[in-house]
Amino acid sequence: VQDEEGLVGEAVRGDQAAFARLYEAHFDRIYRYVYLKIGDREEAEDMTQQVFLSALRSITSFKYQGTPFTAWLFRIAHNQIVDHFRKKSRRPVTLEIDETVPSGGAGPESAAELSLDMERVSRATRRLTGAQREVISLRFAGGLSIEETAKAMGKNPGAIKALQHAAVLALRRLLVVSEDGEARTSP
Amino acid sequence: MAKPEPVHEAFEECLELVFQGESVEDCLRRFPAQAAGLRPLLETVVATRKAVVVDPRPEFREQARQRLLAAQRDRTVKTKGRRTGLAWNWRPAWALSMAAFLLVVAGGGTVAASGGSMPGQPLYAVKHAAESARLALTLAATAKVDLYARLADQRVGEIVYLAARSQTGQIPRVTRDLDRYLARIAELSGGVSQDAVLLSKNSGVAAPSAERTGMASTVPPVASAPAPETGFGQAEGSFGTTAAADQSGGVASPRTLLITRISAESVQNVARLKAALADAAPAAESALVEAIAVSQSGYEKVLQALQDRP
Repeated sequence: VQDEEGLVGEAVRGDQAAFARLYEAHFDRIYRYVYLKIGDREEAEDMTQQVFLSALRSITSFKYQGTPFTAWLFRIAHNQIVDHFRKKSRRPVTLEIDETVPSGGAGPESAAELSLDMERVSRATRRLTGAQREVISLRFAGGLSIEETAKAMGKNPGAIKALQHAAVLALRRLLVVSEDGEARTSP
Repeated sequence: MAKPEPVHEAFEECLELVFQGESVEDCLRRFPAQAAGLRPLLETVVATRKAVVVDPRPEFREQARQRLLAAQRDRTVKTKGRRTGLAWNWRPAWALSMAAFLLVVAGGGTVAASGGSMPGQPLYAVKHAAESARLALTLAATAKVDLYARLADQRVGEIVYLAARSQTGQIPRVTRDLDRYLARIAELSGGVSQDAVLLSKNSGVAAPSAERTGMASTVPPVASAPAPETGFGQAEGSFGTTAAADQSGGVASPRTLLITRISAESVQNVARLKAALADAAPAAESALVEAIAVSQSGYEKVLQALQDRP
């Protein structure tokens, strides 16, 4: 099995088959990352295509220089999402976690069984801070490792672990609150 | 007494284990002092991952592939144009541009229509360019072998077509393509899975049909054009989409199916070429004799390779 660095090298030199293999390897991960951040399947599909077309246009100028290909690709996706929200003037709601999450009974101690889907998780992550949302999206939708996430976000791995812990804690509170709310409104 | 591990470190260790398939309970046993705090977080991650790991719709995946293919073709044309200036070969480049344009604007309809074009016809270059791109984008060994086999089948049809019209000048080039495709099938045969797969109606894993393989059919008319191509980039194990699905259900491996199919195609294609030779004008005879030799030898090597592999 050819390693990714070798494949990237060939793609940089214009090998279309090598780029196609990179595309196949990362397509699903980019799609999930974009879908979670946008929360709309059709828009996520359009943007996933745009990410790879942008990558194709830029691949010949890619240089490792400390940034792995995966982190580079996810940065393209991130930048396109930022552009997307800017153009639509529909930025995701970003509130500080202390403002949005009640403390007390619905905290992480609750053992409520969570029943989730993509849209619900997407809505909940929009109430996280930008960095928390990013780490959740990269780690759990994009499937990046701690090291890859650190490279993509320009932080060190230790900081990412701490951020991830805080993000999941906050997400848990939001989801449990949401589930309680839905339960109360159910007949 | 050792300092307890920071909770975010313990959480990350547990996460990695859960991602590798360990249960939440097993992970928590490793961190008894922090288990109460870790449990709801791990449950959240498991539920979140389950929600967000969604697969793209197959039709979207295919559409995205075609769009990428069109963009790659477009870039190829531009690169060749820059590299060779006015001396570049305008015809293939025109065809590549047209393929890219049509894939994007017309959803690939005309490129699909080019699947029936023959050497010397305007859309043949588009067809050839689309085939090359499909080969580049087809990664799984079984799907690639299947695609090469279908293309070899088409090349035989083109040789027969050219011979019937005494367009002998192009037969050697098509024969070289046939030779190359059969050689690639032999090279790739080791990657074709031997794992048994369940064959069921509409399963997408197709057994060779009599119609496609010619097992029980007569030699097709000399001038018959190859069947239009279907989509490309099929998943491993889903070859033969143009063939009918197995109707009765059964168990076979992709390699077994391939051997059956290629055995039939080799007999059929050599017979088609020999029939063409019998009716050919004298000017086409030597090219057809060469095509028959290439076909016989190539298919023999393919079958040998498929049967020899462990």
